[in-house]
Amino acid sequence: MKSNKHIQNHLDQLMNSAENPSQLSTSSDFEDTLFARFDAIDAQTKPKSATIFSISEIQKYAAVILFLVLNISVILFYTTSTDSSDDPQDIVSEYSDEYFPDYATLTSLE
Amino acid sequence: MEEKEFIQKLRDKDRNAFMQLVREYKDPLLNVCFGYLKDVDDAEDLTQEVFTEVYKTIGNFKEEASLFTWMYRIAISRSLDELKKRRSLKRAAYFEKRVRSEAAELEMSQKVSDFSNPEEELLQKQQQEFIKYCLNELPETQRTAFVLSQQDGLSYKEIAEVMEKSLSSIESLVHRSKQNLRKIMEGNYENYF
Repeated sequence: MKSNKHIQNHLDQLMNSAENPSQLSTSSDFEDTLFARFDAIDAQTKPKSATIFSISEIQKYAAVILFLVLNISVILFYTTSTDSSDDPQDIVSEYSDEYFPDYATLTSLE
Repeated sequence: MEEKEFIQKLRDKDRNAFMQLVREYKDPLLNVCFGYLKDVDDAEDLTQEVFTEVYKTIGNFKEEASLFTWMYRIAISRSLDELKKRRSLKRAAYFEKRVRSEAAELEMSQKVSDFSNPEEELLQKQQQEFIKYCLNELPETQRTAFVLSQQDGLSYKEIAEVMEKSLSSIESLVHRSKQNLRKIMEGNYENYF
């Protein structure tokens, strides 16, 4: 069994170790690892450019041409079609037949 | 370079400024984290976390305290969070990790110190464990004051700034922490040695 004096001496020694711990230094790869983490943070926070800015020149021209062709073909389709139902007189008579079926009778009585 | 100018460079994510900051503070912050965790690898990981947080949040730094004070506060709060996390770990998981790390440490020590005295090494380890246990038994503010007072070149005035307390209360806290630590050591000595 240890004597009280021995224990007190050991406790003094332990207190001394606790109060004056050996100063540590970081490992050699500390900075490399840390700056790699900084790079990863930058990559995450970097704003992504819109898709339109990442496609090639040829693709951009092709998209514009496709857009124009589609627009022109739609315009041509509607201007060349001759649908009789588009005649204003027909539309008026259809409308009056539906909502005022006695309109013709009423006008004939005048 | 003035601190304001330096902080602006940090806000602009200037790599040279960050390199300067890291080189100046990596060892002091490592020692603060080690003061709480008592594990070199964990303390180094946490120091990396501290710098990462500084990198991410330097834009929000309001300059109400000095840069040094702000970084120390981050290190202390991260260390305390880590300790709380560890306490909440399931006992089984904790022991599993401990067994693994002890096995790895044993393997490492066998490789490193073939010629050293194994008995002495065991005693050293036992003493470190004992100090770690006794420090963890101290109340939080006393432990923080004690850990910071161990830092080379950290004055009571600087500790007072970090802990947001008066100089006289820091002097008394450090004094009480030493007294309490001694009492805790005396109370637990028989269980360890």
